[in-house]
Amino acid sequence: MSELLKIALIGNPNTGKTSLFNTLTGLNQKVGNYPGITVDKKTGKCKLSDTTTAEIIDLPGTYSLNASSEDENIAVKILSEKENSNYPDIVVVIAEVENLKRNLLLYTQVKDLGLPTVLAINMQDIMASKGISIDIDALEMELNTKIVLISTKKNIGIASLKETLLAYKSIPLKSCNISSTSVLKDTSLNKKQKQHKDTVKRYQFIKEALENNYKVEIHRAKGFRTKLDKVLTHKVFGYLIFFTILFNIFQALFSWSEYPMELIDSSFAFLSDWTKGNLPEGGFTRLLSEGIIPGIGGIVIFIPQIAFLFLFLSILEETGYMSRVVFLMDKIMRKFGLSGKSVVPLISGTACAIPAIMAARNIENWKERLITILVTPFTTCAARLPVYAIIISLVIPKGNSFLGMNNHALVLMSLYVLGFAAAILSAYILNKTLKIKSKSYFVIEMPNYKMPLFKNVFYNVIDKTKAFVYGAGKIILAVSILLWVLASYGPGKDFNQAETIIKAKYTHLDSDDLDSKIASYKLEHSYIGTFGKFIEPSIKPLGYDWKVGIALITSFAAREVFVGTLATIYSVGSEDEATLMEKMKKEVHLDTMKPVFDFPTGISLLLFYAFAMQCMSTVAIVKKETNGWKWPLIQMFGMTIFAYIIALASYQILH
Amino acid sequence: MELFQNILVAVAVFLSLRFLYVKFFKKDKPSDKSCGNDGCGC
Repeated sequence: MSELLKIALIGNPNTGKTSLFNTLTGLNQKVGNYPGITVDKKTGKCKLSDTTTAEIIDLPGTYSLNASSEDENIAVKILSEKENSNYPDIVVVIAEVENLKRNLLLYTQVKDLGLPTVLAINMQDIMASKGISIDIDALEMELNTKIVLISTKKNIGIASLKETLLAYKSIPLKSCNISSTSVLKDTSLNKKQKQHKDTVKRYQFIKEALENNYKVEIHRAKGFRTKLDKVLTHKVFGYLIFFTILFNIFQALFSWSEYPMELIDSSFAFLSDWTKGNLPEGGFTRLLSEGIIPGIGGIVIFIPQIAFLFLFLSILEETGYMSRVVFLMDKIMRKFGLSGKSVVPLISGTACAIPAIMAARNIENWKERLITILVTPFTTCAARLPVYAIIISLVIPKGNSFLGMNNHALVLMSLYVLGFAAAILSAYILNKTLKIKSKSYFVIEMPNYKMPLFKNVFYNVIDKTKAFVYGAGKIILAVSILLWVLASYGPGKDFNQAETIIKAKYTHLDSDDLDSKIASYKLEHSYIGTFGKFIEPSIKPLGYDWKVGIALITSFAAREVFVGTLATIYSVGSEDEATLMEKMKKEVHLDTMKPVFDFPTGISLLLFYAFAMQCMSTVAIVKKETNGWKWPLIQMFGMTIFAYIIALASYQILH
Repeated sequence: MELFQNILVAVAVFLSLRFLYVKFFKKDKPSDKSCGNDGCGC
């Protein structure tokens, strides 16, 4: 009969816990370098032998079991409550060979809970180069456990770890006997004092245990890493290097994606035209060629840019550089009244606000957490990229101007900086308004520099791009279908007798021009056109016509829907095989015959999207994280009103 | 053929409305797929 063992993996952030989880279970999962990235519980199955299977639970990365943050609470609950459905048979504590002393604090706490505990020391492969030697047998005696040296990077020691897990009954259950485990779950007023005393005692125990059994030749351990850290976290060069890297990323985003994007754009234009010409005439064919294909094309076109963005972000994370960025930003954050813990959500917000807001769970201080949740959506997320990219390409002239820098990349980088500046400035204002008195401390992990693992980078890029296409794609597909219907049907005789009205009005036009006039007239009097015209007065001062207004409304579902919406609206009734960019370039205001997407309107749109909330999923997660509608509504209206005012001001000044 | 095509359009509209309703109004928490949100583009 086969046996099922429950094994919990626990360790400090950046010890390779997620990599070990991947190795054991075969599940592909992101490996992050900056602290607190693992928030949700993850499980996976691993075959230990022919008769034994293990269910591996990946607990959140934590420095201790002092239950002060939500992540630590989860770990304490699972490991101490026998009735908990996730209560494990064995615990594997993962430590990193270079930071063993600090990592062992968590080990001693877990060991004191009385569970069979295995200590897996990771990065065995760097021991020789770092001048580290460990007397494993002696250390096992000191710590009352089984120790396995592993390297998740080189796949060393995994078989030995599995053997140790199979023989878990032979692991001594004797605790470290440092202090009572009740300290871990203490909720009394002097909890912090008790925990502090407990931590001091534990470190004394660890120091004694390691004294003769763990040796480091210091001159070999430092060296390259220290020198590089000095430059990368320097108060001047650090920022200079960071902005140079950032700028090069944005430059590459535009130049590397140009050809694949053009190819995708023209392929969808061709597909749309082919569908119209080859399928039987009718409503569904028009829905396909004018609604669904242009709508989906409007999102697929951004796959190259999104993939490159995540490629660069993954490489920065994998190399260990992202943690240096967190450290650099921490210095700025403190000046604006936020602790370094808020840096993690703000930096991860460049990918998506949802996990970033969830990462704020690491912040124990409620008001500080609330401020972080409220300001994180200002950070430029990947969903803004399609909107920025298309508007920048339309209204910002190509070429180099400032110090030979590419104009498009420069504007894109400015928008990222603007988003971050808006986040920390609003944090400063909220900090003053909400009167935060207490601050939480911040422990930052500086992982070793390493060559990015191709596998991790590859899976990350594939996963994120897939999530972007399938996730946003489903909404865009649904919105495109509804928009096409609303744009293809309309109330009253203006819509139904459009042909007669236009033919009577323009008797001298040739058939092509006449068709275009009829299509435009019908669109204007369709359901969507009627609604667009209704809201037009409120957005006209910002430089937008009713079609852009419709795109603003639909993109509240998700920002990138903006592009899909315009692609659908501009395709309804259109006969030519033009790409989306060409259609947007050709679009003119009918009264003035001036282009819709000129410089003032473009800047106004960019600023609107930089500051407006425009994401229903973010509203939903803020509601969940703050347990009510008050904060998400304040945030949504606050950001939208602010965005409206800034876009209005910029258009009125520029036009 | 025209009738058949109109039926297909009606089905597509119904499915779209249903999807958007379930996504944004019925569900109180974001999906646990990928980043936790399958509509934000991350």
